Amino acid sequence: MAQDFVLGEFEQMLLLAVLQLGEGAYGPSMARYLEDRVGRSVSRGALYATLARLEQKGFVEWLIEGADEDRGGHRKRRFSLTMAGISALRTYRSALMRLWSGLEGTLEEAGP
Amino acid sequence: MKRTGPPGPPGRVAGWLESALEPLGDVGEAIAGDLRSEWSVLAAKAGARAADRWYSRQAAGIVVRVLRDRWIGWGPFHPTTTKGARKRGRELWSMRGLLNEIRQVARSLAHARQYAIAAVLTLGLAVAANTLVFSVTNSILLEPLSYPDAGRLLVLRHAAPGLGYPRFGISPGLYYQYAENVTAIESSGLYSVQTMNVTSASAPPERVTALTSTHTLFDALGVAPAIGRGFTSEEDVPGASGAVVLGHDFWQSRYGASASVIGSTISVNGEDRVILGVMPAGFSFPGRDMALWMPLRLDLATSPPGNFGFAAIARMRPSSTQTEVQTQLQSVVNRLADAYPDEREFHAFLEAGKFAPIPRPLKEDIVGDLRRPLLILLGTAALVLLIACANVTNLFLVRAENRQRDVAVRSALGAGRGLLARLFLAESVFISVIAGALGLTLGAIGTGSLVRFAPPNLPRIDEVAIRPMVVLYAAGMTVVTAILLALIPALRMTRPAVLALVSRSGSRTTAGRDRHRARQALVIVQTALAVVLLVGSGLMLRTFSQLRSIDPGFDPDDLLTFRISLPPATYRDAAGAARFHDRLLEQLRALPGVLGAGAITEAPLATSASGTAFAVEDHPVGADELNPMFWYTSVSQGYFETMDIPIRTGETFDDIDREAQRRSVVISQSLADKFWPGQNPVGRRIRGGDSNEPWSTIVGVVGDVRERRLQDEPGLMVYFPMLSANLMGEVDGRPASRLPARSMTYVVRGPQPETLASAVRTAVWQIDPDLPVAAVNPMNRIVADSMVQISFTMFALVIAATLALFLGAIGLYGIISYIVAQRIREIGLRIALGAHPAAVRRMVVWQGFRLSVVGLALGSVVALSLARLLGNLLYGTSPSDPATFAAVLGLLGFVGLAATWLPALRASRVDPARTLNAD
Repeated sequence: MAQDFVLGEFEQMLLLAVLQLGEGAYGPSMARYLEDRVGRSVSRGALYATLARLEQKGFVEWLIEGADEDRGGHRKRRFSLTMAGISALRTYRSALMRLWSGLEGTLEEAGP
Repeated sequence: MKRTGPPGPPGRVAGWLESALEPLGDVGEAIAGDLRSEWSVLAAKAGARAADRWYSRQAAGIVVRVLRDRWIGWGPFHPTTTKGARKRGRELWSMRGLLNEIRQVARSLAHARQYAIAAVLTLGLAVAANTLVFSVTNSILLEPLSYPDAGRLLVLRHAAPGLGYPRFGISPGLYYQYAENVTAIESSGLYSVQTMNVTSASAPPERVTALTSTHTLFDALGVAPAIGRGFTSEEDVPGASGAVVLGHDFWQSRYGASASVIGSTISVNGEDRVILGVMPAGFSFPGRDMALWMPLRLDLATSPPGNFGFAAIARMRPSSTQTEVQTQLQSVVNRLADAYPDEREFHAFLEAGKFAPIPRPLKEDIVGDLRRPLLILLGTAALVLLIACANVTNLFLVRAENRQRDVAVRSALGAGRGLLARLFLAESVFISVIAGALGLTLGAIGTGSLVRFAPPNLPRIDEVAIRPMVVLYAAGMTVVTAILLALIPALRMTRPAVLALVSRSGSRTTAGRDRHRARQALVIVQTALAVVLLVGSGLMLRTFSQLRSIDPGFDPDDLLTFRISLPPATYRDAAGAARFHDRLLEQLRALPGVLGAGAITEAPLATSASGTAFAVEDHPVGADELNPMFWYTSVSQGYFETMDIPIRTGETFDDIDREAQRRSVVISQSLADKFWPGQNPVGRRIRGGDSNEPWSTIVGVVGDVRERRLQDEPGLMVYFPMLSANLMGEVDGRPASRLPARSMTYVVRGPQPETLASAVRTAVWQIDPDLPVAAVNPMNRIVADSMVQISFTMFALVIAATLALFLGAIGLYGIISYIVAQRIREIGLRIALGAHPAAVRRMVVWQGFRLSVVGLALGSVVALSLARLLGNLLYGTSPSDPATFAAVLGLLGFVGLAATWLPALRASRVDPARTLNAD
């Protein structure tokens, strides 16, 4: 049980991206979303490997959808969180909040 | 990196990625698609080059992970831990995999456009040629005639080899004997074909082809009229009132396909006949465009046995064979003397001629002459296909080499032999299918044009069409070429060999040398095949030109011919006919520009001529011998002059009345030479027919004329003067000479004969407005039509040979370019070491020359043996004609040199610095 909700940093980011993107949670959009917000490039190999691990843990599932023009005829996968994934996120968030409590002021950046 | 082809990530990298991801099934497919779409977005934002770089980096990352996981045996990119991955075995034949493969193939071919276009065009043309040829051969030779159970239909022909008649028809009397006595025949019909005049109220007079037959003919053929009925035995007796059945096309054109035509009357050659019915569409026996069928109205039992101007068909019983029929026919013939005890001349004819029946299947009879040219045609088309395959195989081999590394990487990524083979098969199928579709379309168009422009006297040409059989044949060829083309490179691309080839040692490895030799062999074969086709067409060209240079005995230029047939109803007696001929000749001579006009019973190069026995006064024959047979015809005044037939001795019928009264005849030179060699035959006498005929006196000798085919020697011809109107009535109690025939061919000499046609028709209609003018043709066209069998074969061979020449040149060019490319470093080295460009050129040309020489030698040997197949199509040239062979070898040698010239030039211009540094 304890191991189950241990989420790596990247895993967490991916789960959040899936939630944020809702209906539009595809591989490329998630990667771009993360690159925009995190500010560094995301290796696609790492991306898909992580998604595969998340699926193994049961936190994420996907649906195959039809092909588009520019995909060379390949179909695409749309990701969504499972109940387990949502609950894992919640658990981890509450754990983080507990660890963060009282430290808001300390880590604020110094004013200009 | 040079960018070619449609926009997309770099093909090679994409190929590797997709190969690597393939075992991951849906997941792998989705990842590949994701990356592709990201490439598009990035390319739009930052340009293709940046997108390529990003893509290659990401793809490399993924491929590395795939390889690592496969090595570990576990991991997010290992198939067993991935949801949705398919089992390895099934993926080979899944529909998705195949479609994917096709897409990939299309992409990679798009990157190699020149190769793809060359392959498709080469194969497509060859398939088109084969489709065209096969559809013609299939319709004419292979498909059965359209009568029910047509295999049992025989044509009853006869031969009299003892008298030099190889093939002729049947007489009503003989037909009657057969019908009564031959039990192996279940039904039969006697018929003859003539052209007749048709007049009716609704349309202008027409001249049509008509069939008169016994009423049993329809039953024998197994066909019945579509509307109304045929004629019965009641309408088929002498004296019965006229009945007629219309042909379908004639009914449509003249009566607008109106059903009310049944029961109305139509006038045929002046006799009114009741229309009983209409034949079904598509039926026309025995030839094309038969407009009418009418009963013969003969009393067969009393018909004479000696008039062989008819034809007959018979339907065998299902249980009988052709040999049985022949035996029974022969036994009837053996008893003919008893059946007709008083016909002594007939008996002599049977004996001396060694008269024998030769029944032949109906289809063979119709198609016979064309069998050999068609089979030759089929053979040449197959040869062209072979050459095209050789060419495309070479292209394939080159392409396979260029994809060495591609294949090696895929194989390292786990692609088994099956997958690799599928790669090549997909490409060859893709190309073959496109080439096949292109070829079938072109072939269909070609067939349509052929039918439209073919000479009308080619048998069954109107039945030529694309049938399901032909489509099957084209599809079959496509499949076979696809498999063949895929086999060769696929067989060579085994895993160990491929890995060994990843190093750039090229032609120095054993595998490389093998391929090299294979390609050289292909070029040699191509050259040899080209020799065969060129020799064939060369021989036919010579035959054609020899035929054209034959002097037909008259001057066919500036000569217009047409036929007039006077219906008996309007021209009841000979006097009326003679008056018509006189008036018409007068009119014709008065036309502006006309230099002369004449008439004859049957023009030269016609398919028939009349012959009979003639007694020669000073060469009497013994009691047991038969008189010699001569051809004979009647001519009007001015005929020889109009035709420009030279007068060798004596004179012709200048004053025809006087000559007719004197019973003069003119003979041909060969007849004079045979019976009076070195002497003057003028004044001698001959007599045609039996001993009751009066003697005729020879007044002149004219040059020989080819009456039948150009290739046939001119026969022994006797010309009678045609009676003119001034001289009718009798001389010595008998008609003066040959009565004017109702049907005559007129010849008119004048510049631009085509323009004379309408003036001629007007002249005829001024005399008789109801008279159709038939077969209006410049003489030159008649001469050309007589050579149709030769010209058909010749054109086919010339086209095939041109294709072969073209393809062979491309093949040679291809391989020499390849050799140069392989040895580019060596060439660079030589030039750097001071070799003269001319020496380099010589070296390259020598490479090509070696291949050419072997191909030419091989081809000559094969051509010598195959040329004999042309057989009796050749005229004036032997199958091993040295001039033709020399010309072909010279031409191919020259083409070979030209094909190697460009690569040689490029080789001599090689910049040593570039080639030695590029590694």
